[in-house]
Amino acid sequence: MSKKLIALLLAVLMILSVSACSSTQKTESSAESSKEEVSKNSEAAGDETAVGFDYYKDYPKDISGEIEFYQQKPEIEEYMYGVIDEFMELYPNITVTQNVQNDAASNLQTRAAAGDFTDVWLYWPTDMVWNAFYDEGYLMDVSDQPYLAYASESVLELFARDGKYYGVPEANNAAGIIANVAMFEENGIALPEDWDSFIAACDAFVEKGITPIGLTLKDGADCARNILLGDYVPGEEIKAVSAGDKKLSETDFPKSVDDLTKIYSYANDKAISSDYNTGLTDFANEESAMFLSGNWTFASIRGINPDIKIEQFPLPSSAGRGYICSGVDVGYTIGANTKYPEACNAFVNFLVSQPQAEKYCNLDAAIPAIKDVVVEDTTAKRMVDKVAKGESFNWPNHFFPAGGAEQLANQASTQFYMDIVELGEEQAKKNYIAQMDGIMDGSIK
Amino acid sequence: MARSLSKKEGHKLNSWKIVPYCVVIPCMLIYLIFFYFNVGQGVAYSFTSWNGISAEKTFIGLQNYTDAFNSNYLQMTMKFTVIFAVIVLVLTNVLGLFLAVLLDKKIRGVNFFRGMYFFPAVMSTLTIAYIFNQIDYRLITLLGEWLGNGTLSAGLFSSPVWAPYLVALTQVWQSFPVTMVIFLAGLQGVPEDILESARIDGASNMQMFWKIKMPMIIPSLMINLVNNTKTGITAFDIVMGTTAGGPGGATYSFAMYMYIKYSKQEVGYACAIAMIMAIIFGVVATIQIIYMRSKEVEL
Amino acid sequence: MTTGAESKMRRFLGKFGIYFVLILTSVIVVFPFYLTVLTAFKQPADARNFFLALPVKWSFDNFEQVLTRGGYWDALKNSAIITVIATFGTMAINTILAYFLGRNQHKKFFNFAYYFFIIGIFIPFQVVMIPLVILGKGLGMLNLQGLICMHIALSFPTNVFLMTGFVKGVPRDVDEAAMIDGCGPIRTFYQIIMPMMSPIIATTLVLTVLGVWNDFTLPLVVLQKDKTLPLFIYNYRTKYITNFNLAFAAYTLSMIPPMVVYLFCQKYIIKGLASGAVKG
Repeated sequence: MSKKLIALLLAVLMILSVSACSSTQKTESSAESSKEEVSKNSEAAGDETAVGFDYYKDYPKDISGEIEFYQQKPEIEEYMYGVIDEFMELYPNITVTQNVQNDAASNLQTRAAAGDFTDVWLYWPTDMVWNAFYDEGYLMDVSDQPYLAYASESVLELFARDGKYYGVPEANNAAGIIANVAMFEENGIALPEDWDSFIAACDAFVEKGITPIGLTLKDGADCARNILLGDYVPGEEIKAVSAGDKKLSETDFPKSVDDLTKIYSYANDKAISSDYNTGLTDFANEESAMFLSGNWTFASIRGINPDIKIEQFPLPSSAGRGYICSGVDVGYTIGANTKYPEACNAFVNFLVSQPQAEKYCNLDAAIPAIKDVVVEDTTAKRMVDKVAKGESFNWPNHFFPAGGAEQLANQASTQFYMDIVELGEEQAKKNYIAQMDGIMDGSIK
Repeated sequence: MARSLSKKEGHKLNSWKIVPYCVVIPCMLIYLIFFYFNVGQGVAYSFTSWNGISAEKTFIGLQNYTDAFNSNYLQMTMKFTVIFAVIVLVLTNVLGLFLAVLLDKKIRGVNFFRGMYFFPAVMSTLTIAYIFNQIDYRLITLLGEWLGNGTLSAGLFSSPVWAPYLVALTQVWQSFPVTMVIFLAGLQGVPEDILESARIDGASNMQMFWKIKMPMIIPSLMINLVNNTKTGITAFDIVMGTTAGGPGGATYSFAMYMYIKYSKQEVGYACAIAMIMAIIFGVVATIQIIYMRSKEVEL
Repeated sequence: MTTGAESKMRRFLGKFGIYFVLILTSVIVVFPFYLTVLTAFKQPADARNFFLALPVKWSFDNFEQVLTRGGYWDALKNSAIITVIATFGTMAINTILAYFLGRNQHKKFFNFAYYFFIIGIFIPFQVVMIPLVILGKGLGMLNLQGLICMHIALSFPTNVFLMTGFVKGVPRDVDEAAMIDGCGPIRTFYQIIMPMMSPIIATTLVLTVLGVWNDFTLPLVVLQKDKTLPLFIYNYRTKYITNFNLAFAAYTLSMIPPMVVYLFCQKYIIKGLASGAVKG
């Protein structure tokens, strides 16, 4: 008991010192590249952690093994190398190799088909791929691991199957509107609170000749669709639709399409030829006042334009629940067939420990899924509050039928946008709803 | 001179009979394992609903095939493949031959141009695709705004009508250098004395090209036809880098379509698409091979 | 006299026309290069300015970052190793294979073998892609060595087709003379026939080198950990990496090695291709 108390005290101390450290750094080095900031952060944290946190837990120090850390967030590759180095200093007999893959899902699938899985896997649960691996017994049951206690229960539940846990979360994401605060202030427009003020703000920008919303419809990864769909149609209902018990058009989905149409009408002219990368760059270069995306873009946006002032707020809807879209951003799962389960568990224990989680959440302005993590960044404060109040839903695309449904739905969004231009709003909506119905019941493949 | 076959010579003669088998049979085995065996496996998977991960492969008969034929995407894929293959085949060869003829002339700076034209060939297709993607997004859209043209200002890779053509043109940009160099080699091989005597006989440039040069570069033409057909029907990286199959599936090549299905845990379905593709191209191939056989004397 | 002047005029116009076309085409060829290099020097903030404008500040930062972030040299090394060994293997096996196929086609077995190989020309690689990966795993071949073997194994159709056609054009008396002189088939091939095949070897060599170097699909599915240059580039354009300038610096760096090789070998490539066409 007392040991825990001391640990907690030390942790609090450490949080204070780290946050103080990082805040002074920010003012100092706003012009410097984010890369340097990361390395500085990790150095600072590294010095503290040696005393601040018991990274060993119930694991002996002399565990050995060679494990692969498999992850698909290339934007944190370098950061992760720093983390791994720290870990290997603590456990000199464990070697961790990082494997960053672009098409992680299909790459892992290929390996699994050939009977080979990875050791520690950075992924998000509830997604179809994760479920498929779970179904086939590729994921390790970690229910008895001490590190589960670090995670906040509600998020941890996402990793539960049949009362057992198959992974542990580190951080959550949140998707909504990212606003260029300076552009709002310069034009005397207040940040919207609800649907009406949101539309009013869009109109005001149009009047000033400014593109209100930047959308990235080329690669179809359409945040707007997901957010609105999830806001109007709860996950359980989408699951029912996927199971074939219901049609999507019988839910509130058509209402979300109305809102979607409205949002599309405020989009940039180039929305259709803009993919995620180009859209983000353009928003960072102030080509639109708002951008629809998640907290994972903050670092990239600031990397492109260090002077930009951004704030994220929930995307309102005209008649929805007013919830926000938030799912697991980073979670760790261990392969059931790993040769070195002890080493894997020690590594995951290290990754989701409070100091490491705090370091990560502050890097990405992520919403912590680990207890006692303090995030300095207030960019997404309104999102964090919503999540805290329980007014959030998991990514609806995670409940789509297995297989290519999500890909097809993305293409349908692109098609919808093109149809609005060519066939007019009413016909386009009809086509889109019919298309989505077909995708969900599997008649369109 | 009377010579009886010595033991050694007999051995040599035998080796002329045996060695070809010793070389050809292992190669056939390798090809059998790496190609035909996999085609067979693919056929087997195509009758299952295998998701690529599961150990179980449920037999579902022709379900994948009927699904594929009922899908809009298969039609779109075929349409795109035809557009793409025809443009790549025709334009690459025409452009390659035209430039080869120009560079076959003895003019100043010809080596400079020969060198320069080859550069696109040494770049990876993916790089080229990314670069053209940027040109479309940053320049074509700007041009569209300037002209007030809606299609252009939305970007051509995002237009379901124009994207297939533009993807094909991007491929032509990369493919023409190799084609050109092979034609150039053929043209350079035309003996000077034949041309000289034709010139003395008063043949015009056009006549010399069609009557003398053209027949002599048939082998080069064959190489280029085979090579460019292959490029045309196997398009993958060029699509991946420019449109990734979009907008709305307008630029699905067979390979792209398969890869998307494959990476979305529909491996059985992906294999069915592969088999449909194999059958279509198999028919085309048979026709081509029969045709080439008839031309073989010239090869 | 006037006709002389006229023909001179025409010749001048003709030459002018040729140069006009050549220069125009060169512009089309060079323009994307120019853009790539230009963008590689820019910083993200430059995106605010016109795409064709010069960078606000010329700096090698992007290149430095690509090189220090790691992966480039490994990818380059892998690509080079794969290309050299796979090309060598392809050439070594296919030439002799084509020779025996071409010389024995009157025999049923070899005729069958010929078709056995060339059927594959038009069956796209993607058809066997998925089973190939599974087979590769079974054989422990999902690595660089395996990739090289697969490149060689899948190189048969095109090369057999091209080379066998050529071998048939080489007069039979050549090897008959060698045979009578008591020369074995292998020696005959390497000492007499192979040198005569140099033009087709040059052609297929160029096609193979470019094909293997630029190949994206096979390494994408086969390589689990290592990367080749195209894969390296692919990873530079993931959903979440948004720094275009960095990506373009990576593109530029990936173009340099093959260009350097080409510049040094250009003479030999064109010469090699051209020299033998006489016999075509």
